[in-house]
Amino acid sequence: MQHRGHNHRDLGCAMTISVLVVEDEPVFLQRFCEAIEGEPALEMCGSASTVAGARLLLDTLAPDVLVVDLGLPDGNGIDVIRHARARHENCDVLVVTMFDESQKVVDSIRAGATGYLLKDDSPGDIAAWILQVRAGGAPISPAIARRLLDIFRLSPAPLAQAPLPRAQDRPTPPILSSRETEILRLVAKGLHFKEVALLLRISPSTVITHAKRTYQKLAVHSRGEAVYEASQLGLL
Amino acid sequence: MKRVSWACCSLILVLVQLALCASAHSQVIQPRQADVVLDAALHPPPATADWQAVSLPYTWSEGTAWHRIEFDVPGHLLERPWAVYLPYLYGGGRLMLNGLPLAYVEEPSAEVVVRWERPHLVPIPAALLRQGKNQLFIRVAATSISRGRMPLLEIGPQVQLLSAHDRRLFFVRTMSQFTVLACMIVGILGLFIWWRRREEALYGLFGAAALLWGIRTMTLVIEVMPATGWLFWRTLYHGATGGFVIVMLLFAMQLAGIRHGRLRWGLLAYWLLGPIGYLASGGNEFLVGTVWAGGLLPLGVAVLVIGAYAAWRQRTVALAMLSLALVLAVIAGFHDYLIATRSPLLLAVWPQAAAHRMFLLHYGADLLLLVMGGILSARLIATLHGIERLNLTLEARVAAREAALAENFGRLRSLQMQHAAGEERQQIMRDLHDGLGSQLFLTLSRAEAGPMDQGQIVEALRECIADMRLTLEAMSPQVGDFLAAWGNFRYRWKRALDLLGLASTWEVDTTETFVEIPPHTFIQLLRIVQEALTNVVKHAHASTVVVRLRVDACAIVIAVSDDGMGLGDPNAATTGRGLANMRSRARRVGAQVDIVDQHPGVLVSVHYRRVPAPVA
Repeated sequence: MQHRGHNHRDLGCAMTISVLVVEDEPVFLQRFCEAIEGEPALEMCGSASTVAGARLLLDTLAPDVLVVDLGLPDGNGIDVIRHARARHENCDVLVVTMFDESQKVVDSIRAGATGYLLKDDSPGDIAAWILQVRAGGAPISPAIARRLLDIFRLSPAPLAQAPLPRAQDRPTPPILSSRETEILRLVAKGLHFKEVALLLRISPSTVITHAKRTYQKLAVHSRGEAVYEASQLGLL
Repeated sequence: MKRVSWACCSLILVLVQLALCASAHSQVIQPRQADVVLDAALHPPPATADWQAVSLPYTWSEGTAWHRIEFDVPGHLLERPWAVYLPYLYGGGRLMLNGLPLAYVEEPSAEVVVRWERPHLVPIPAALLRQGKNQLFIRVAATSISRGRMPLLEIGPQVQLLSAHDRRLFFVRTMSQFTVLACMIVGILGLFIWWRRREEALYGLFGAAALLWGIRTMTLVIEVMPATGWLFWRTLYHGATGGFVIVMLLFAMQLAGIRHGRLRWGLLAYWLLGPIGYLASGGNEFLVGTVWAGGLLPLGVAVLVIGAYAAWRQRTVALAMLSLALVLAVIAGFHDYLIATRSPLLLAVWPQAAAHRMFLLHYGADLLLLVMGGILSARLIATLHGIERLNLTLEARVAAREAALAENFGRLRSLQMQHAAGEERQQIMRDLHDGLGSQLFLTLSRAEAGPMDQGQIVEALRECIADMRLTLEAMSPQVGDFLAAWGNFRYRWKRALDLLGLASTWEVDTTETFVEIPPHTFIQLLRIVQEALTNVVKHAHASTVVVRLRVDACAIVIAVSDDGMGLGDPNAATTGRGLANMRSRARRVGAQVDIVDQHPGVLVSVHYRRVPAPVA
C-alpha cells in the first residue's frame, strides 16, 4: 500500500484517482460528487447506496479510494470496509461521519479505514482530505487521538481516565513508538499535523507517516484480535 | 478423670489401712470410771475422804472436784514416754501423779477468764511413772459461767495419743483460726463490693454474715482473757451469733425474692435484744445464751424453709445447694444446742457425741458460707457471661447498623449523583433550547416570513451546526475535562480559520493535565470564545488572531485578540447584541467577560474562577 502511495506521489499529475462513493442520502451523495468533480486529480468512478451494491462495484471497478457512509439501508458500512480491505488491498478507505463520532471512526480504522470525512465539510475540504489520504496521510481529530491512546493503553494525560476496560481482556496491542505517542498526545490537545511538525521540528510528511503507521498498528491489532477471538470461539 | 479417681480411691484405701493398723496396736488406757470428791484444796484429799465412784465423762454444777483415776502400766512399756490426753479441760486444772505434781493448766481467777478449747496432751516424766498401779489426781473447777466437766480421758504412750490430740486440735482450734481469718477477709471483701455497688445487697449480706461468723468464731480462738473485757466480749459474741442467723435469714429472703420491710425491722429488733439484754442483765448467760439463743433456732429453721421453698420454686442449683447446706447447719445447730444444754435426748441417742463435746455448728456455718460464696461467684460469672453475650449482640447490632448506614449513605450518594447528573442534563437541555433551539426557530421564522437569501440561510445553519458541535464536544466521553474539550474546539476552529485565510495562534499555559469543571460551564465558556471568534471572522477584517488559554489552580482565563479594525461603534445593534450575549452567558456560569478595544483589534477575555481550588 505504501509502495503504491509513493508511486502515486510520483505520478500524481499523470493519473487521476478513482473514487467510489457509498452513500444512501442523495443530498450528501450530490455534495460528494460535486466535491470530487471539482478537483481535477479526482475522478468519480461510481456510487452505491447499499452494502450489496458497494461490494459489486468494488469488485468490478476496483477504485483507488472508497468513501463510505456507515449507516446503510441493508447493513453496516464497516462490512463494506472489510470487503474492500480483503479484496482490494490497495484501496484507501475514508469513512463519512456526521460529526466526529470517534468511536465509529476508530471502529472503522480497526476494520481498515485510513481516514474520515465530515458530512458538513466544504467541497474543497472533502477533496483535500481524499488527496491527503491517498498521499499516505490520515487526519486525526483530538477525540480520535485520545481514543487511540486509550486503545494503546497510553493515557493521553496521567490524570485522565483509565484505559478502556474492554481493552484489558484483549491481546496486548503493538506498542506505539515514543514519537507516535508524542504525536498522538499533541493531536489530542487539538494541534494539527502542521503545528505538531513545527513543534517537534520534523516535516509534516513525517508526522503523516507516523499517523498512518499508528492506524496500521491499530488495524494489525484488530486483525490480531480477530484471530484471538476466532480461536477463542474454536473457529480456528 | 479416671486416673484422678483411681488416685483418690487408692489414697482412701491406704488411709483406712493405716487407721486400722493404728487401732490394732493400741495400748491406750481409757478409764470409764473415776472417784470424785468435792474439795477445793490445792492437794488431793486423802484416801479416807468421801470418794465416790462416777462414770466418765462427769459433770457437776458447782464447786471444785478432785478426781482419782487408777491405772496399770505394763513393765515392757515403761521405757516409752507416756502421756495423759484430755480432750477438753475448759476451765483448766491441776494434775498430780502418784502424789507429785504433773501439770497445771491455768484456771479462771479474779483477773482472767479462761476457756480452753484446745485438747491437752500432758507428757508424763519417766521418773513419775511406776510399773504396775499408778494413781492420777485431777482437780477441775466449775465456774460461774460453766459447769464443771471432767472428760473421758486417755492414758498411754504419747505416740499413740498424739494423733487423737492433733486431730482434735486441728478441728477445735486450727480450723477456728483459719475460719476467723478467712471470714474476716471474705467478709470485708463482700462488704466492700456492697459499699461500692449498693444494689448488690446479696454481697453485703454475705459480707456481713462472714464477718459476724468470723467474730463469733473468735470465741474458740481466744482462750484466756482478762476479766475486765469479759462482759464486753460476751456481748459481742452473742451479738455476732444472733446477727449471723438473722443476716442468713435476710440473705435467704433476698434470694427467694421475699420483700418484707416490717419483718426486717422486727428481726433487727430481736437481734439487738440479745446483746443489749446481756449487757443490761450484767451478763446473764441463761437469759441470753439459752433463752434468747434458743429463739434464734426457729429463725434458723425459717432460713431453711425459705431456702427450700425458693429452691423448689426456682429450681436452681444454687438454691438447692444453699438449702442442703442450711439443712446441715440447722442439724448441726440443734446438735450443738443439745450438747450445750446436756439434753437427755442426745445422751440417750448418741452418748459418744455427748461425751466428746464436738460442736458442729462451726463446720455447718463454714459450709454455709462456702455455698453462699459459691452462689455469688456463680452469679458473678453468669453476669460476666451475660455481659460478654450482650457485648457480642451489641457489636453485631452496631455492625448491622453501620452496614445499614453505609448502604443508606451509598444510596443517598448515588441519588445525589443522579440528581447532579440530572441537573447537568437539565442545564445542557436548557443550553440546547436557548442556543440551538432559538437559533433554529429564528431561522424558521425568517424563512417563513419571506424569501431569505441563501447566504443568510447558510450562515444561520452553520451557526446552528457549530453550536451543536460544541455541545457534542462537551458531551464527549472525556466529559468533565476542559482541556479535552478545548482540544476539540481548537482543532475545529484552527482548521476553519486556516480555510478562511486567517492565521491563528493558539497558546495554552497550564501545568495541569486534567481540568475538571462541569460540562455546561465549559460549553458556556467555549460559546463565548466561539462568539468572539465569529465576531473576528465576520466583522474584524483581521489577518491574525491569538487565542490564549491559561489555567491555574484558581482560574481559567481565555483571551481572544485580533489585529482587526476594532469595535467601531459599540452601540451598533449587532455588536451590542453579540457582546450582551457573551456577558449573559458568562453570568450564567459565574464568569466575567472583558472586551477591550485596543487599537488595533479587540481583546475579549473570559475569566472564570474555579471553586474549589484543586488539590495540589
